[in-house]
Formats: sequence, C-alpha cells, structure tokens
Amino acid sequence: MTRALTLGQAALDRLMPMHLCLAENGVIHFAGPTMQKLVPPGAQVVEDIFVEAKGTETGCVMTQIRAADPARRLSLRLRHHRQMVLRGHVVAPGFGGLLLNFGFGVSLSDAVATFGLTENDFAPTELALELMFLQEANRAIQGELARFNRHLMLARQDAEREAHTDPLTGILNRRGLLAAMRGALDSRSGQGFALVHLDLDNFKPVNDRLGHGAGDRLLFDVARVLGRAVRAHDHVARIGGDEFVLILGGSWTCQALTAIGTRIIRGIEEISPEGCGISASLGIVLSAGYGPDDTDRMLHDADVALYRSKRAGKGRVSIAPLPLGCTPRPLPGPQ
Amino acid sequence: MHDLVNRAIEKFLQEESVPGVEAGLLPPALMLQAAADQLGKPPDELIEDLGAWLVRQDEIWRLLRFCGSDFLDFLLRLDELPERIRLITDDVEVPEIALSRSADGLVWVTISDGSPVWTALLSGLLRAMADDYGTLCVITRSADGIAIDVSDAAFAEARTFRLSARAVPA
Repeated sequence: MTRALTLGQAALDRLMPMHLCLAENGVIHFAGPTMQKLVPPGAQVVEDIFVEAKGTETGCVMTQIRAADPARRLSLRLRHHRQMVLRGHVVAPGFGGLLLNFGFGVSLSDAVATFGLTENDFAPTELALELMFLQEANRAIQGELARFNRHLMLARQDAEREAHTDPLTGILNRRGLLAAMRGALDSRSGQGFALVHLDLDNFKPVNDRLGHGAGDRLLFDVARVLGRAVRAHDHVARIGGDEFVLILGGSWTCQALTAIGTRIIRGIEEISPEGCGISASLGIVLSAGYGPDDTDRMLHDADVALYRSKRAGKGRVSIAPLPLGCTPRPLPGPQ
Repeated sequence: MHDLVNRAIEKFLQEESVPGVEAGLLPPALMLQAAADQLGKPPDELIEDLGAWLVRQDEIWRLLRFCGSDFLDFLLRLDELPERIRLITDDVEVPEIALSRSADGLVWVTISDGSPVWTALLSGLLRAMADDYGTLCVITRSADGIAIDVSDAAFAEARTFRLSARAVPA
C-alpha cells in the first residue's frame, strides 16, 4: 500500500522553508519563505536563480535538474552570489512539476551574513544554529590559543636572551658565546673570523682595595670599551670573572689584529681607576682550520696565546700560529 | 581549556580590581576564595558576579544567545548547556542541569551534584541573560537549586543579536 499525503502551503513552508516548486519547463511556481529571500526580484525561471555548480555554464540548469538521480545530491550555484553552492534534492510529487528542497551546506555562514537570515528561517530539524554556534566557539578558542602561543613564544625568546646574557654587563655570557661561535664556525656562514681572548691585568687589587662594587663597575666599563671597539655584527662576551672574548668577523691580517688589540688595551688603560694600573692581555686565534665542533679547542688555543702575552709582561697582544696544513691567507686589511 | 577557564577568572578578578591575588599561581577555586576574602564578600556572591561577567564578554554572550530565541526559550533549554559545552571541549567537567516546574509556576533549575559553585555561577548568568533579553524576573538561589519567576517577558527591549557576527544591518 502506498501512502499519499497532501500538504497545504503553510505546512510545506514550515517543514521545508527552502523548497522550490518548478514546472517541467523550469518556470517557478512557488518557493518556501527562506528560498524567497534568495530568489532575485523578477525571477521567472529556475535559471534566474541558479547556474551549474561545476564545469562550464550551459545555461541549462533545468536539464541538470531533470537528469538528477533522486537518490543523490543536487548541487547548484546561486547566479548572483557565485561563491554560494546550495545542496539539495529533487522529487516528482506526481502532480506534474518538480519539488526541490535545499540546504546551505558549508555556505551556511556566508548565506546567513549575505541574506541576514534569522533563527526563524531554518526548520527546527536543521543544525544551522548549532553549526554557527560551533564555528564561533571554535574561532573564539582559536583566538585565545593563538594569544597563548604568542605569549609563550615571547616568554621563550626572553628566557633565551636572558640565558645568553651576562647580567652584570649586558653582553653575552659563556653560553651565548658558544652559540655565537658555533654559528660563526658553521661552514655555511662562509666568512672566517678572529677569536680574541682578553684577560684584565691587575684586576684583583681593584676588588681588594676598592671593593667589589668598584670591580663590578670596572667590568661594566670594560664591556663598553669592547662594545665600542667592534662592529655591529661582531660579538662581545664575558665568560668569567675578568675574562672577555670577542668574535671579529671577516679576514684579518696580523697587523690589523695587533692594531685593534692595541687600541683596546689603550682604551682599557684609560678607564683604570687611579693608581690601579689596569691593562689587558690578549690572545688571538684565527678561525681557519676549525670546524663547528671545535669551539673548545679554539678557546683553548686562544687561551694559550693569551698566556704567552701574560708571560711576556702583560698589556700586549699574541696571535696563535696557524694550525698545520693550513696555508696562510692573503693579507687584506679588515673590512 | 583549563588555561582558558583560569584566564577568564583572572581577567574577571582584574576587572573587579581585586589586587594581589596571584593570578595563574592558584587553582581557580583558591583564586576565587582568596579574592572573596579580600573583598569581604561571600564566595558564592563573587561567583554569581563571575556568571554575570561572563555574559558581558562579547564572544561568550554571542554563544549564549545562540542557545535561545528569548529568555524563556533560553531557560527551558538550559539543560542542553552541558551537551553544548561538550560539543566544544571534553576536558571541562560540567554537571547535568535539570529543569522542573513547581505547582506555583516557578521554573526550578537544579544541578545534578548540587554543586554550590555551579548553582551560583548559573544564577549570575541567568540574571544577566534575563536582563539581556529584556525579561523581568525574580531569581532566587537556595540549597535546593535556582527558582525563576518570570513576570514580564517583554519588560524591555532585548539587546539585538544577529546570527552572523559579520551581518550588516538591513
């Protein structure tokens, strides 16, 4: 037994506010209240409302509707809002003509915004409001999470900077120096550099005679002298009590290094507290022949050169000999 | 999600200008307890304020307005709220909410585990939502739950709500 049902228009409107009833030739008979908001004024036939969703437009939407498999989804694009694809299905109710019903699918929020739809435009069975609720909840949560991530990222950057900084002088600490050396020794960075190990001469008496506050102030001033002696892309670090290390990028001649070393020594002697005779001993090593894993060896070699300066009477510069098997570079001046 | 809950409480306490409550260091319950002590306010009153404050947060307000077309609709579908929260996240434990009507016509909202925190939070939230919908009602909180007496559903104009956050007014 087949069951038949006659529905008045009011019932049809309430059950399916997005329905569209067409004659066989595509002329619009009537439309549900929500569908009416989508139908452009003066529309006579279904082609005034829709174009095909996919492929080239043949202008023959009706052919597609007639050919649609009743068991499958029918997708049509709004003629005047091409970004919106409605999905629905079509049945032949038996009185001649075709009855179509549509939903917005993923175009929902777009459609709600464009046509100013309200809760009453949807049948209670539809999940439209729940979908919009979810979408907004998601967006709000994502916004908050993005804020959290930014916050964490900034905090991490701060922590990293702090971990690489000597709190007394604001220049790099040992950890920061090692990171900078690894970067500079990476063959991809291409350029060589000179590593300068510097130890203050006669520093201990400053602490003993004038107190640790004066000692700290002197270390701070030395860091400023060093900062002024180098270029913006060089590095300055304090790696222990009164030990400093500089990374000077580029190719260097012994003369140029001796000149800059001597300038640094003069600068430090100038800030010596009255009667303390502060000066500095320097040991310099060139990066040629060292790889990214050789930071310790390189620092050790610079240290050896530094002690040559100390033994030779302090207040001077020693440059380590180039490692074996490494031809000396031509000697251009510092860049 | 717990971070979001914590942050909401932190922000609320900031705006209520409760100084010195170490935000982020305490679990939410202790944060609220400490703040209540400082303000000399019973904790459940502060939590009620938190419920009303939530409604004033634009994004939360919009989500709440999705839950009902008018106050009565909102109220009578309040039992959907835990399920809605579970739609968004499953790491917040929300007790079930039951609705009933007493012989004198009052709507009763009861929380499954009788939690005084949720009862206080919901009554603050209901009070603010009634205001938002322009509904006049009396909301009474007791150990048995929340009793709502709706006296005038169209007492004032409801705040305008559009389904689409980007809809331009016609």
